Amino acid sequence: MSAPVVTPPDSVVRTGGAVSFQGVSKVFMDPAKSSHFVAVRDIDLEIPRGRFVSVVGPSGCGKSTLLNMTAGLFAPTTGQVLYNGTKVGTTVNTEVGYITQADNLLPWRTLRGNVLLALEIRGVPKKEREDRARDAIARVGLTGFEDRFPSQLSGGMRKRAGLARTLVYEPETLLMDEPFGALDAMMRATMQADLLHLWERDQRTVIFVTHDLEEAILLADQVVVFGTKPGRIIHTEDVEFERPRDLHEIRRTPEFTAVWERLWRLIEGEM
Amino acid sequence: MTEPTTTSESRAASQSPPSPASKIEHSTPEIDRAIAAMGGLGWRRYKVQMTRTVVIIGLLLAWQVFSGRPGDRFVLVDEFYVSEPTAMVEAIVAWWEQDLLVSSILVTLQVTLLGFAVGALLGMITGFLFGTVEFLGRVMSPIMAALYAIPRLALIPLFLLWFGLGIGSKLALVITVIFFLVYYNTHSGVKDVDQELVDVLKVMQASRWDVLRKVTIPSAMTWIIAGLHISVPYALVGAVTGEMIASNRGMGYLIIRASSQFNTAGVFGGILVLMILALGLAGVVSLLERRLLRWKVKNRE
Repeated sequence: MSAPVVTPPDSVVRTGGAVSFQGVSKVFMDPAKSSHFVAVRDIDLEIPRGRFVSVVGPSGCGKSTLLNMTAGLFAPTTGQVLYNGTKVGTTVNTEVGYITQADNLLPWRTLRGNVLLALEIRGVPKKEREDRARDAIARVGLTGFEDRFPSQLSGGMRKRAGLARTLVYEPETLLMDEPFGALDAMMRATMQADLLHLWERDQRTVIFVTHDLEEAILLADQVVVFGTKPGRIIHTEDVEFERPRDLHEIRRTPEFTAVWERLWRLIEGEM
Repeated sequence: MTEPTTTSESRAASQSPPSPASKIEHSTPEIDRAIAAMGGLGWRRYKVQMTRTVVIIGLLLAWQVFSGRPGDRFVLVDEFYVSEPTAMVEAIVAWWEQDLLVSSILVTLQVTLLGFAVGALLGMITGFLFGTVEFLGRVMSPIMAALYAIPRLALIPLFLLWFGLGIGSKLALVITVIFFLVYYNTHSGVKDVDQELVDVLKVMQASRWDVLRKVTIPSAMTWIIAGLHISVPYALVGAVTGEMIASNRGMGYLIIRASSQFNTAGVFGGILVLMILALGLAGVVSLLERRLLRWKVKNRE
């Protein structure tokens, strides 16, 4: 299970974080109706450093719950989530960057202001802050739009802005929750290629939640298929396509179609 | 990767010399001609303003002509009941000459602004406190609702008893009116903050203070400004009501005195002065809004 070998462009070699789910279940209580709801059950999953893992499954199968527990936004009801060997859940995991379907940009801050946010919070000196923000904005191709407010950017540009806002503080691990769900097909294809390109440069660990099976297979080293009611892992599949990947080419290979067909039947059985 | 900006190219492509009347980008000669035929871009706005002026002058003229002594030409309504614009202005001028106008305005303004400032500040602090500290909010919310349900005017006798006939009782009235308006808006604003934004910040290592400063306050600001906006006229209402009930100074007092002397023109004059004051205060809040919500103003452009 070694990570694919890619030469990093800078001197920085990133290892990413390792995430381990051990017998994890999460139950939500509804105090108003005094009922409870099992979001995920018996999750055992090892995600090694630098790996790109997709989590795919029908909606309401607890995929997002997995990410929230990795970020330490809430604790599992049973079992434990380890991040680099340390238990998370009682405190927020600040080694991760969280990107959701909503771009979550602060509407009262310009693009630059949004990208600077994490660095301000972390108390990075002003000069370094500005440099790193400029760099992150350039990496996602938004140079020249620094002074625009989010509402003055297109949907695709806001997505890139969200990415820059997260990449700027160099989190080891990216948690992505249907990040491209709201984009049109063309924009989504571009963003997928861009994301892979960025990932291949510095090899962070990525947990990528999606309900788009094609996207899951194209991007990831490993696809984790979730079943629903209750949310649980029903299958994991290693994806062996060579890196760097040409997504357009891969889509048309018989190998891709074969994997897609097989996993689709599994998901279909859960809906 | 970046979306292309086509402005400069298309400008160069269109062969027309830039027409001074139009500031439209990507324009073509046809479009420029069409705009010129409509009388330029400013015409619509000009038309609205012109019509508005005509309507106002028309209404004032009608008021002037149709009110007066019963039996006179064109007179439909007795001036005793509705006065008329010229008499209204005369009443104001009379106050000016007696050195009453400016001092009364200042008294009323002082109560309005001071009461507004204190009430708004207390409202904001309480709103943030009960909005962010979940436990406190749950404990206090029905108590606040009960206090809010009290008609504030019913408190005036108590305020007179506690704070006397001077400025204190009026201030207390204005503060209790403004406090709840701003409190409820601030509270809603804090509750309205997108939890996902807060989570994203937490993952960035943000402290509670960071979240409050960088998300909660700016996000709630839209609501708070809206609260300030609607409460400005109420501050004036509170001040004037207080003065009408028990006072010997201020615009409220001038109006009630005119009324007791059957001086309808004075009552209308006082109302006119209050209207101008209210508009001025609303203008100040709008300026504040433009500054604090610059991002919103920019987004509308």
